[in-house]
Amino acid sequence: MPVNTYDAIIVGSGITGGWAAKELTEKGLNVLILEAGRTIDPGTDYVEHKPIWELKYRNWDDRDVRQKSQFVQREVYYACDEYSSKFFVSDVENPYTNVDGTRFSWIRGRQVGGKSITWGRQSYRWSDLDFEANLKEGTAVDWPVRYAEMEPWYGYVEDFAGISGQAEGLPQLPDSHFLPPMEMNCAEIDFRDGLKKHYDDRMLTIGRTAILTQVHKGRAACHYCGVCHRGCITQSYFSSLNSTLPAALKTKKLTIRPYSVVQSLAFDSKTRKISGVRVIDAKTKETFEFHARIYFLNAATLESTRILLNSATTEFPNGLCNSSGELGHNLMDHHMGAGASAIMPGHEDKIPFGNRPNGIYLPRFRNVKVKEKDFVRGYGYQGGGSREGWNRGTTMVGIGADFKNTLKTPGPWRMGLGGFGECLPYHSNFVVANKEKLDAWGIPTLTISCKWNENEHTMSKDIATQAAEMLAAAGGRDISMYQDISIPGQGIHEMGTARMGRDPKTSVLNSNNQAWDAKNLFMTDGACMVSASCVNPSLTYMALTARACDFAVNSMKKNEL
Amino acid sequence: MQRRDVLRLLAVGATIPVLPPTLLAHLREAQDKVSAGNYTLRTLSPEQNKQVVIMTDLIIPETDTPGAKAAKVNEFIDVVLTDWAHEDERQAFLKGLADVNQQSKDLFGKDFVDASAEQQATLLRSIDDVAMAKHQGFHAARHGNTIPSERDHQLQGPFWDVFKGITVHGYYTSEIGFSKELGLEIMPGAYHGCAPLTEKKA
Repeated sequence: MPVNTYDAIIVGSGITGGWAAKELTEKGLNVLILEAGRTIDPGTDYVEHKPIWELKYRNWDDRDVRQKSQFVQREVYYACDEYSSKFFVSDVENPYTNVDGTRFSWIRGRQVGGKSITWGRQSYRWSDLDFEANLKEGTAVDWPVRYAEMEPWYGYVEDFAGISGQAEGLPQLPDSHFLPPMEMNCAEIDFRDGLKKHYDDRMLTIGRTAILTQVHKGRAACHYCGVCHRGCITQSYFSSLNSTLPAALKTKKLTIRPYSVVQSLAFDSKTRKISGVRVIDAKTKETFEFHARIYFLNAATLESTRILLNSATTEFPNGLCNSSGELGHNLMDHHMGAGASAIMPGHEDKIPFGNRPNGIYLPRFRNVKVKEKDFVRGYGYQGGGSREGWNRGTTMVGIGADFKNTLKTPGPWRMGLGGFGECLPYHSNFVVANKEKLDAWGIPTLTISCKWNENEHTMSKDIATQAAEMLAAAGGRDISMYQDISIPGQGIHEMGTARMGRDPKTSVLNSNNQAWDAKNLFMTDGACMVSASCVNPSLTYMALTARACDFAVNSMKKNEL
Repeated sequence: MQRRDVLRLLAVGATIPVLPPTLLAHLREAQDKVSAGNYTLRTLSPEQNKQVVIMTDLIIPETDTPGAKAAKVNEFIDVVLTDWAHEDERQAFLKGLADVNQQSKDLFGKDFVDASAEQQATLLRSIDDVAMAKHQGFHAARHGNTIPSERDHQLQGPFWDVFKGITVHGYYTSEIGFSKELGLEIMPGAYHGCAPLTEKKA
């Protein structure tokens, strides 16, 4: 084989890049992953068991340094902290611009493993309530797939990844192939039972999460240290680093090239195919070109789209594979920032043992059976019960032995619900290439324009009031409600900008995640999404990736690629 | 064997469903090594340090477990004041210490460090009662990726809020506070949603 030439090149090594690598190598292809960031050595980079007293600022973070270098990234306060900020990009090296009057928080992880190291791990199948929503409402374009086509692929990725959860038989939230569920705690059980008594259309289930509750495919069960986003030396949660990349490397057909910043793709206008990837070495700034028969863009939603926008040609002046004009448009995220919490009385002699890296899930009930007047689509809640800990001591009256002994005993049980709401795909939420502002490697950056519209704001109010009402109905006391809608991007569920569809005139990718304009190019990260659902998207990315890999390799065998 | 090596072994021998006691022992051993070493004050004067040690230990004294003094909360405070605090925050903190000392002089005719333990406790209690009253009835309700308002602001606000906050944080994030006082484990090895409170080693 010629130098720098492979059967397949994958850009990015996160959740979808890892899956593409596993699928393509296991099907016999020689694969190169181009990863913009560094390698991760779990032995030294994972810090989940590092005691907090070993941190200089006890997780108050090196704020001055971080405010300068990660002023956007650290909005993910629970993960981009004194332990884990190394898994997020430098905002100085990776700038972008918001259009005046809008704001999008773009959270990124550039390293082998990508954001799969720090992701939330919540894993839910979508249903036809999601896949048919656009068509039924006449919004944007129709999804070119339905649940029946996705179902076997969900099962396929779940069997490898390992998803723990409880089967519930809900049509709007299909069950996965589950490993045993994690336990609910006292407050959650009370809330679940109270909810059941008062509502026919609502229920509570344990979070469905890509964390192993038993030994699975050679990976150990969770040991409940509870801080997955700092890494996991026992590989007990799903990340590309913990599972798909090791499987791909086992085939001896995978090469991972770190520090490989992709600048653009080359397009051959005669063959109508991608002919190469232009790469800048992040350390030496040398440029290289790599070639393959097929290409997978899995750089994360906006980075994948950015690469196409930066690959413009005379034929495609507004971005490669953009004959539809939809490239960069229809950016979505889930809106958060609304919910409530309450004290759940009783069980003072009980406490959770261990740190469960998972919460509860209250599935969507709006616009499922009955059509709501005020808004379309719906939302689900995540959250959980816990007992107040020593932190309450910072604002509690008292000093001395009594104060100390009071803090030794936990405070009351508190139940919290936070909504994740569906955002509609608006053509007016978009990204474009910005040649005026370059990143640390001289590559044009993105200008982003994204904001919520009336449907999201109206839904957000309902999220808060329904959370408070349900907590009250289930026996909650001392209820606090909040409604302060999140900034787009903070959900870190950015989707769209290179949507799939049934028509090349209105979409960038076909039903197999294949670019209409370059048939050896596939995009299977969040960029391909046509709508947002209200459930976490990563499991669907995984299923779409495995499905697209199967299609791509079959096409290669038939000499169609 | 290092903790990392133990963990690597665990990762390879992935059929072990529960953490072996040897692993926990190694974890503890690795953790014990950390607290060794002598600390040199960089912001607090010896007098100020003496006052800080007494104040933190009055908030969280030795009971059946060691208190703030043994947990060296004063050293954490000195680190934060030196490398984390901005100049105005540092000065406000030191002025707060001086104010407490002045109150001691006004009330007892002595520097705080020279007052009796009873006098010291009485003074701090009166400060605490007033400062903490305004917080009662407030509960943080949020869940999700939103920015907690307190981030980066731990040294801002009234002196006693700052002092009590850093003392509580410093103590319960010390090995003594975490392991000895609260009986917490970094790797519990299992999860039970409704375990008896007594099972959480007190």
